[in-house]
Order: sequence, then C-alpha cells, then structure tokens
Amino acid sequence: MIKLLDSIDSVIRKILVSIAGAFLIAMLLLTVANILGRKFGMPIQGTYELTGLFGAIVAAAVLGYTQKKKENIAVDIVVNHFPKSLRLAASIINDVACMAFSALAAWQIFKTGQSHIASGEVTETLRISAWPFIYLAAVGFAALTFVFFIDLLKNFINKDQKAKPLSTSIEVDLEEGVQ
Amino acid sequence: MSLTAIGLIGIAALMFVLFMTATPVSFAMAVIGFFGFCWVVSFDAAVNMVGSVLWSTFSKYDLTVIPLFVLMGQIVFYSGINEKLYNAAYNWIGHIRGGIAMATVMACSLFAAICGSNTATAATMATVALPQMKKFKYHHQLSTGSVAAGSTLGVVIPPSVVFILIGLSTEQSIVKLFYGGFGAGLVLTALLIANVAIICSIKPKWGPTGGKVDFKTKIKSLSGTVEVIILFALILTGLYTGFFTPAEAGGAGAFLALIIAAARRQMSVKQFISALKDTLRASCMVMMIVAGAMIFGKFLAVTRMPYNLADWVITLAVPKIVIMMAIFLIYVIGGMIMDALALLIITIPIFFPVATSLGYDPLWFGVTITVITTFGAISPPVGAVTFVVASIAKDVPMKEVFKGVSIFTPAYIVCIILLMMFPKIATFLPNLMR
Repeated sequence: MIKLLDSIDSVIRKILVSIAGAFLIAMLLLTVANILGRKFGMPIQGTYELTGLFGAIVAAAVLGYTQKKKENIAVDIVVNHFPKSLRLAASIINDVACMAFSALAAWQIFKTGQSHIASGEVTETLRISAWPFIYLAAVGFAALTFVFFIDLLKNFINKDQKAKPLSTSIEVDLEEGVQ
Repeated sequence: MSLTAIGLIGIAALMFVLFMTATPVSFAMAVIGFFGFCWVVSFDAAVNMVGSVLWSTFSKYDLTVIPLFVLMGQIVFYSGINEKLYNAAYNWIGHIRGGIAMATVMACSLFAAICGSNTATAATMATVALPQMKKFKYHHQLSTGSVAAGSTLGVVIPPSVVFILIGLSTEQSIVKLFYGGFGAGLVLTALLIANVAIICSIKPKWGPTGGKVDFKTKIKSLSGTVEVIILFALILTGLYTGFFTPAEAGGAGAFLALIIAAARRQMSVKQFISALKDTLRASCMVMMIVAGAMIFGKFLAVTRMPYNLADWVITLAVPKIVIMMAIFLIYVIGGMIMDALALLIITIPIFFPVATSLGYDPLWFGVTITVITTFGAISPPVGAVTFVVASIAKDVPMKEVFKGVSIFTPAYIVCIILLMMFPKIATFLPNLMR
C-alpha cells in the first residue's frame, strides 16, 4: 500500500519538478531578454507580470519535493532527545497539522482560481487570465498534502523507522551539494 | 482578554509547536497564524486570508529575486570556482604563518560575494581548504574553525538571502541592505584574518607556514578570481545605478555565471540539472517561510501586539542601549538554537518596530542582527554550518570543531562592538545612494 502511494507520489513529483525547472529557466531567459531589450529600447511587455506568475510555479510546484527531501527548516533540538514514543507522537501531530493546513491552502488557492475565471479578471499589462498558474499552484499544495499523508501513514506502519531525527536537511545538502 | 495578550499567547504557542513537535518553521507560523486570526477575527476571514496571502506571496514579483540569486550561487557552486578562489588566496598569502587559514577566510569572502548561503560556502570551502591545511599540519581547531567562521560571510556579504528577506519583511531597500552588508562583511573578514594572526602568534605551531610560489604563478592564479570580481561588480554596480532591479541582478548574474561556466567547460548537463534542483528546493523553502511569516504577521497585526510592545518599551526608564543589548542577547541565544533565517523572520515583526521607535537606523539594525545571528549559525548546539564542516572533516570530532569555532568568537564580538560604535560601517555606503 505504502509502496504504491510512494510510487504515485514519485511520478507526481517528477512531473511537477520538471514543470518548475522549465519555469525557472523561462524566468531566467525572460529576465535577461528584458534587460537586453530595454537596453536597445525594446523592453518585453508584461515581463514583471509573467516573472511573478512563473515565480509562483517555481516555488509552489516543488512544495511536495521540498518536503520529501526534508528541506524545510525545523527546530529538532528538543524532539531529538525525546523517547521514541514521544517522538512518534510529535511526528503524528506535525504531519496532521501540516497536512490539514496544506489541504486548506490547496482548496483556497483553487477557489481563488475559480473566482478569477468567474470574474474574468485579467493581468494589467498583458490582459491574460492568471487562472492556469493559480490552478497549478493549487496542484503543488495538493501534492504537498499527499506527501504529508504518506508520512502520516508511515508513522503507524513502521514505527521504528520513523523514530529517527525529524530534520535531515544537512545530510541532504551534503549528499546532493558537494562535488 | 486583551488583543496584546492574545498576540503574546500566539508567540508562546509558536515557540511550543516549534520546539515540542519539530514542525517546519514555515508551517508552524502559518498554522498558529491561522488559528490566531480565527480567534481574533473569524473562521471565515481566516480561511479566506490563507488563500489570498499564499497566492499573493508566491506570485509577488519582488520574491522572484530569491530563485534567481540562489540559481546564480548554485551555478557558481557546481562550476568549481571555489578551488580557483582558494588557490589564488593560497598563492598570495599561504607562505606566512597561519596564511592558509587566512587564505581560507579570504576565499570564503570572495565566494560569499557570489553565493548567498553560508552552508553552501561551508561545503565548498571545507572540501578544498581542509585537506590543504591537514597537509601543512595545521591544528584541526584552527583549520575547521577558520572554514566555519569564514563561511558565515556567505550571508553577510551580498548577495544574501537573509538581506532579501529582511528587506521584504521590513519594507526596506534590498539594494541598500546589500551595500550595508558589504561594509560589515569587509570588517568581519578583516577581523577574522586578524583573529587567525593573533592565534598563530600565541600558538605558532597551530598554523605553520605554507610553500612559497613565484610571482608569475601568483598572477596566473588570479584568473578565476577576476571572473568572480567582475560578476560581483556587475551586480552591485547595476543595482547601485538603478540599471537592475534586484531580481534582474539575480537573473543577469545567474546567466553570466552560466555563460562563464559553459565557456570554460566547467559544468556538465548533469551538474546544471543538480543546480536547478537545488535552486528549486531552496527557493521553495524560503518562499514558504515568507508565506508562513506573512500569515503569522497578519495575526500579529490584528492584535497590534508589536506596536503596543514598541510603545511600552520606549516608556521604560532604562537607556535605549540596554534595550538594544537585550534584543541582541535574544538574537545570540536564538541563533544558537534556531536557524538564522527562521529566527530573523519570526522576530523581525516583533523587534523591528521596537528598534525604529527607539530611534535606531533600520538599515543598521538589519545588518547588525544579521552579523549576530550568523554567529549563531556556527555556535553549539544547532550550528548548521559547523555540522557541515564537521561532516566533511571526518577525522575531527564535532566537539573539536565547535572548539575551533569558539576561538573566532572575539572577531564577532569586536565586529558587533564596532558596528555599535561606528554605525556608518553599515550605513555609509547605502546613504551615498539616492
């Protein structure tokens, strides 16, 4: 069951990371093209709007991936000294609270997208609707909810494995960062 | 119950959740902020606030500066420029006593000029500098301490993610904060080098002299340094003249760094993908912290607690310097137990109004607390940078690395005293700007 959920999560994550990576490159190229265009009297219209929208996808689409890699900063100095049972309880509280919040966030951002469509709201310069970007951000939060849900299940299925230090960001940094 | 009391309960609840459940800082702030807003305003208002704050924060143009500067740092990180910087510094001053440790600090400050993260600076510099210092039989406390202390320059010398966040959360100019950090970073670099010199004069065996190189080699080794200086100068000049917005400076810097790395064949496609992935994760983490802080900030704003606290503090019959020292002490202790970024984002809404109402320059305050909290990044028990250095210096126990870091404490104390005595260190360059 967990294996299946993990593999679904892995596929979703790969798609969203690819999308975010593409938007990051697009944001970089757009920024540089606008600087050069401005220098020659031909700035790219709507650069600020598009950069903002691209930036939203760059961050929101990888919410699940970032959490999976335990990159979010946590203060585990006290919890790491708890006995196993207390650490497990802390982990469950943590996962439930974060899952509930990210589900609420996904739903509310989705509703923001719906209201953009309903009101026909468009951006100031390019006069485009932002709803596809808003929906994509909502998907990012939904993927994050899914990651917390799997983490929550793992608390009950493999208690021993879960009772490790909660924050592993430094190990991740070293594993992926050093050449 | 008064609104101020609700605000204080919110802060206490945040601290409890952070320490007792190890919930990520961003989510802890968001959840407590949400419940606090429910309490003070209403459930419906809180639910609507979450959606609108999250979308408006994530899609804010000003925040795109974060992924673009992080990308620049990651490209430089993966292109292996750190080795060139280190070699240049080593060739010029490695032959004097303690020179390799001094060269490490100098290389760290140069790397910091293009990378806004102290853990990235620590990881890159430790891999290059530690084997060299081991070869010349440097004392392990001096070698690991100089890498860890030098790495803290990553967030003091611009571009710096910490300054970007301080600028955004206090509505100050990011560019001015960068220039303020430049002055403080130069002073801290000089003090760390002086710290090495003093240690080596007391314990000469700790930092033996390195090998001498001829003048031609010295000149030749500057080639990698020139690229970094050009990149740094381009960013700061572009920002100073107003040619770039901070986000554009990040974009231009990342693009130029990529061109340099590609032209020198220093980056493979695989490394570029790794740089992108690292950038995505780091940016997402920072953006989520900002979003969490925005939600928590909305709650604090409706309680008016920070403003009431500021009003109360200025009526206290104690000199304002005592209040500022108390705030600094909180940052020192907080920096020891929490990540600097998280600590700043939580505390700035509370202490910034206090500092400004006491008449302190907001720019000076931002720069000084950055220096203080960055010292926390190497202090026990949670010194993230020290952990990175210790993980690479596998043969040196963690306790010894922390001891090594402690010998650099005087440099930080002197730097903070200098910043207090001569605030112009942080404000002179920014005030030259229009």
